[in-house]
Amino acid sequence: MILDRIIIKRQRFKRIIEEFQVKYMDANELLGRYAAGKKEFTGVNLGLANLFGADLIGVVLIEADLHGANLVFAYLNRAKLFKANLTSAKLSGINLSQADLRDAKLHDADLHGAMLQGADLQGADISLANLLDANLMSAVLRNVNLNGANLTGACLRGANLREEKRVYNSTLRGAKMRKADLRGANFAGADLSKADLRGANLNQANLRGADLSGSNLSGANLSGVLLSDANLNDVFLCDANLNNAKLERVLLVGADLTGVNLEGALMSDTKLNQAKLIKANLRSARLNRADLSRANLRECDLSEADLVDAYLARADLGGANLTNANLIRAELSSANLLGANMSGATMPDGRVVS
Amino acid sequence: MKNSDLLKEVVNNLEQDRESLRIKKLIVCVCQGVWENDTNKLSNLDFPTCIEELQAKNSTLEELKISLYNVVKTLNKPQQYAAIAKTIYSNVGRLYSNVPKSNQPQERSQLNSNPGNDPTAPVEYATQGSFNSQKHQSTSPNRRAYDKFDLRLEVMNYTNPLRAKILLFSTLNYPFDFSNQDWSSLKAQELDDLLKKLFRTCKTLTDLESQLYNTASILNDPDENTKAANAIIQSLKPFYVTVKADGKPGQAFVGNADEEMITRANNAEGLTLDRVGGKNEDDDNTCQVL
Repeated sequence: MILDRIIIKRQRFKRIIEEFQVKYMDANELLGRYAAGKKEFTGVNLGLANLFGADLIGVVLIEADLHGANLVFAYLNRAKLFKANLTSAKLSGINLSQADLRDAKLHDADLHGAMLQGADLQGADISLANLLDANLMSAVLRNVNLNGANLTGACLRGANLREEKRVYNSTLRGAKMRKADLRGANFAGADLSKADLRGANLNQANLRGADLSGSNLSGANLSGVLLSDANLNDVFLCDANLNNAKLERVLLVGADLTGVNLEGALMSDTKLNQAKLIKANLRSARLNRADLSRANLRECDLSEADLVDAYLARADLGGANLTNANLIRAELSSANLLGANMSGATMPDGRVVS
Repeated sequence: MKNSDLLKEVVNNLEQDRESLRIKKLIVCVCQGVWENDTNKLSNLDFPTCIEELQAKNSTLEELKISLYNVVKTLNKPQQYAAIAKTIYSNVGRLYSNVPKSNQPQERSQLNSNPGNDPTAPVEYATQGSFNSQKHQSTSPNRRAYDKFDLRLEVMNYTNPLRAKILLFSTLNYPFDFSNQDWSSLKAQELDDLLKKLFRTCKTLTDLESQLYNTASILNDPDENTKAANAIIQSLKPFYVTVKADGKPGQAFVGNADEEMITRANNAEGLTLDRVGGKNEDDDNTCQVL
């Protein structure tokens, strides 16, 4: 009996020692064990470890502590990093394609030029991380925190940032996304307020219900984008291309849309009060019931546009082109129409200007 | 036009060409895999036989293009022979039934109305017949518009973006040594800016290839860097377009081609370069370096 107890105690002690060794192994030990065929390293403590260029494809590092670790150019394709701590880690050029990074801590991580295509980052904290020129194609980014992150030149083509149950949404407040490739990405319900999206390509992206207030989209390509119900108050959209975009019920109060291309855009029920639309192209746009009170529409092209029931109180339409526009029941009484071309336009009372 | 008339016209074009000897030389190499330097032998060969053999060896236009391209890239004067290959392709290509007949007169009229020294004009033609723009050659007669997003996407699809940046940085500046200063410099530049800079620096595809491969060989991990070089070359290839100098079909690249001339199409990015190759120098030393 006593002997049995001693054996059991010894075994327990051995196990505790092993667990301790695994948890506090160093980089060389990890690499050695991985080379020997072991892949399971859950909970390991490798904070500040140097794993530059390490080949750790498919490694299991669930809840591992890798804060501040150097994993530059490492291969962690399909690695399991669920809830791993990678805070301030050096991850430039790392290959994390199809890795499981759900709920991972990547705050302040350096992911410059990293490969994250198809990675699952749901719920991850990537705030203030550097993702300059990173590849995030088709990555799952739902409910992530990317506030203040640098995504300049990054490719998020086809990435999924759609909100979940209208409660969990991705936040990209103040994110730097200049010249980012966001074609076909899904940002439905995401918070992109005050983001820098200058020159970004959002062609065919889904931004339904997204918050883009105060963001800078100057020169961005938003052709065919879905923006219905989005908040674009105080946004900068100078010279942006929104050709055939869908903007129903969008808030654009105080927005700067100078020189914007909104040809053929669907904009019924939009709030454009006090917006600047100088020299904007609104040809054939649908602006039924839009609120354009106090908007600056000088020299803009509204030919063939639909403005049925539009509210144009004190709007400035000086020098605008309203050829063949439909203004039935529009409130025009206090608008400035000096020098506007109204030929063929249908006026609020149904009269057609010859 | 009847097939026999068309053949006559093609033969005539090739015979009249100032580079008819080189044309024969290249056709012989494509058909027989031999680099014939004997002028007498070449002179005795007649074009109809050469063309027949060329067609027999290459049943489609695509095959013809690939065969020519594969030989040209092995020569030590690829630029000049790209021009020769272009002449063969644009002429013999007309004899392939899958070429829409309407294309040829259209090409001619475009070319005749556009002098070769017009920086923007010959690009449509060049794209259609270019050896370097393989992707778009048979699909669209129009110039491939430079799209920095598509270019970056292509590079990212085939290589590590950071590896590509380091290779580009090292090619444009000095070998990247992973020092803090170099990391800071690299972070201050974007991938598409580096691509743009290198494209502007390298006047020809050959130049681009040699510069990137040279840099890849001196950096750590040459295998990975060569892969990155390949990805960059493949992605930039469609923007290196070979065009005629004088704008006349059948005399491509030889008319006034004393020097390499680079003209820039003023598109949105100013990045589609029309490359006019063809130094008219003696090529006795040209050989195949298979």
